[in-house]
Amino acid sequence: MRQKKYVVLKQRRKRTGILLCIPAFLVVAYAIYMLGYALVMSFNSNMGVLSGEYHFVGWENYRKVLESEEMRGVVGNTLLYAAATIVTELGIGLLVSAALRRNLRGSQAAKVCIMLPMMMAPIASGTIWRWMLTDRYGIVNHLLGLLNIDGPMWLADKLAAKFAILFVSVWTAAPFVILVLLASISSVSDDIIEAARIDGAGGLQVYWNIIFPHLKSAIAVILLIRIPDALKMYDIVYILTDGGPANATQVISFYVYNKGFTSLKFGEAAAASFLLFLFIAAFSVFFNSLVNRNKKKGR
Amino acid sequence: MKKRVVSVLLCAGLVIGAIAGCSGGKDAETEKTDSKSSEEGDYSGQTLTIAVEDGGEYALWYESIKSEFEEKTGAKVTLVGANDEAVLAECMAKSGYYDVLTMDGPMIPQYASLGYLMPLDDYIDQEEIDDFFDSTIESVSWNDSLYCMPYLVHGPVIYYRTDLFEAADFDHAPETVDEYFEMSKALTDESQGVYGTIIEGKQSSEPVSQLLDKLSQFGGELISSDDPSKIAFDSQETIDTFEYIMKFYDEGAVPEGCSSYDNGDVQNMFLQGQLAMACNWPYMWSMVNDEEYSKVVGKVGVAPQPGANAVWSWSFGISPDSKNKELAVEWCKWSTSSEIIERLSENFINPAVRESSAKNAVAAITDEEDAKVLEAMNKSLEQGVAPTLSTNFQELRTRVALTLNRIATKETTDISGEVKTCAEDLQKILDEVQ
Repeated sequence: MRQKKYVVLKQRRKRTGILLCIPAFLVVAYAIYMLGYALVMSFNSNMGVLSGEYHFVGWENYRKVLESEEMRGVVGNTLLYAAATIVTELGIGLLVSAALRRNLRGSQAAKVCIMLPMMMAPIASGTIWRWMLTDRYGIVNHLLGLLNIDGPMWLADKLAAKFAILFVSVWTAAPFVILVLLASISSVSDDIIEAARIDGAGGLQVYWNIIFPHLKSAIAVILLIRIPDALKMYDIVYILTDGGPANATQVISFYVYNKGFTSLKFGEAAAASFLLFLFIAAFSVFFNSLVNRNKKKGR
Repeated sequence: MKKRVVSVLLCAGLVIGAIAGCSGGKDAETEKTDSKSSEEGDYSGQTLTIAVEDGGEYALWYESIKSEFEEKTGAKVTLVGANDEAVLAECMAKSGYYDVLTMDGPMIPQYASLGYLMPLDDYIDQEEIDDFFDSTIESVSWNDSLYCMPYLVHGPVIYYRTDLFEAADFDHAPETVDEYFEMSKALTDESQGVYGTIIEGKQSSEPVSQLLDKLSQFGGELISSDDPSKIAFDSQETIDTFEYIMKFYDEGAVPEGCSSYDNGDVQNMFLQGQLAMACNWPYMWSMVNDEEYSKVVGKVGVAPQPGANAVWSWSFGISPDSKNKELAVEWCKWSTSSEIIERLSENFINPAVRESSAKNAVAAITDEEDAKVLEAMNKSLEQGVAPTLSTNFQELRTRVALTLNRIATKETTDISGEVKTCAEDLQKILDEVQ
């Protein structure tokens, strides 16, 4: 009798479990549908996509994308941005989270201020930055002028434009990195740090030997989320530079958008976006296995 | 095993459900309205969905007067702010979600050739068409078929600061390209933060429209008007145009960073009093006179550009997938009727696309300043050159934007080489649709 009750309860729990998973199934099903659709589209001719017909063109769209000189520059830019953004964000995140851990006066207010960029839509913050960086009437150069610094033409000069894109994307994403690191750093026990100090450890030693190892899994999570995000960057480029000057700030997502919605070459756009997806998926799988291997080693 | 089967069936059901959900718009749309109008003029119960430029001045104006059409027809009209991507996506899906599409002129050949626009020849009386200026009808036609009804055909005009002109002893607006340059240079006063003008150089489609103005002033073309299968960009006229533009950059008649500027920057700087002259669209006149945003109210005159300018149209077209075609045709007729165009022209002080409206609008304007402005805008329409279009004009424009930006940022100083390379690329792009 007791055994029977147990089985019924177990079945009911499983059923509830499946029911609770329905929203997740929906999300996954939709993602699979979209990926499948993009894949099918990438083997269709550009005209076929527009006319709603299917003209199988084999690898033609992939060949065109990979042979395109523009694409090569775009890939270089994208990788450069992703690397520079992540390194800068992590650097800032580690510094700020370490500073905020001390709970100095004004820390709470600082935390709120740091989170503000995260609450703004990228398209809105991009527009604000576009005006702030404009050389004639932008406040950035005006402030630099007060310090007797001749500000660069942020959006007209190739190097400055790259830096502007990097700066704005870091400004937008750094709060997330700080938030994750701060959550992780807060769980480091004060007693351990105190003990290390009694043993004669300096500030840097405490950070490097006690706090930093504690942050490794948080950093792994940040990399896993932010690298694909940085590789997909679009809105900031669209608002700030439109890919210019002279294609210097073109990134893959922007290239895909232009191929699709400006040139109406949706077959090629789908091929380029599918390649980007494969790259991100491969990176995620590789990175995950690396993290898991390190975890096992740690045990 | 049983559980596994149930799980698989559940997943499959969800996938199918999601797919069906994504493609089910058509059925929903079928329910939306019934295309059969009971009697002519009685469309009650029908809803007409019109895609309009999101936040556009003209869209807001049509929104404010749509009730008149609703009263007349009994139908409900919904103007939906939609960007190009949204409209294109609906057209590709053949959803018929938008009954009427607001069309930017250069997009018409592309949309018409893809079957995203319905030919209107059989729906509009010849008498009506004859009242439109020829150039306006040409700008909305493709392959000898009428695809849209124009409500606006315009080209950029020169806005100039009358106070600065007076102070510099200039008694007229520039009438030649050389005069435009000389005046820009003379009116530049960096110490006061005032520049002669702006020649937009951003790698974007808007500055290309301004480039085509200059190109027409030098007698050049992008696509050959004699043979639309040929690119005419690799010409001495194009080189002269770029050399002329770079004179402004090199001699400080424009702000140093204007190679990254587009329309919005020009408007901002002009309204803030930082420019003596600006080439911009007719709709900027209402912005100039808005005291909330403009520091130059009452200090601005308008003149046509020297010699020539490109003209572009805005119009209403009908989706072939619309379930309310008859009602959509009624909207196209009503919104471009002589009376409505006259009111639009008076309201925005913009050139009218119909002869009857143009006469009446000029007669109705009592303010002397507004009358002068409208005269200048009508002149810009008279001297306007409609660029030869192609079904992939957007792509051509994107390529030209790169060259304009490369030259303006001095990424290259070899203008003839850059023009030649660009022209070769443009021909390849054009050949793709031949």
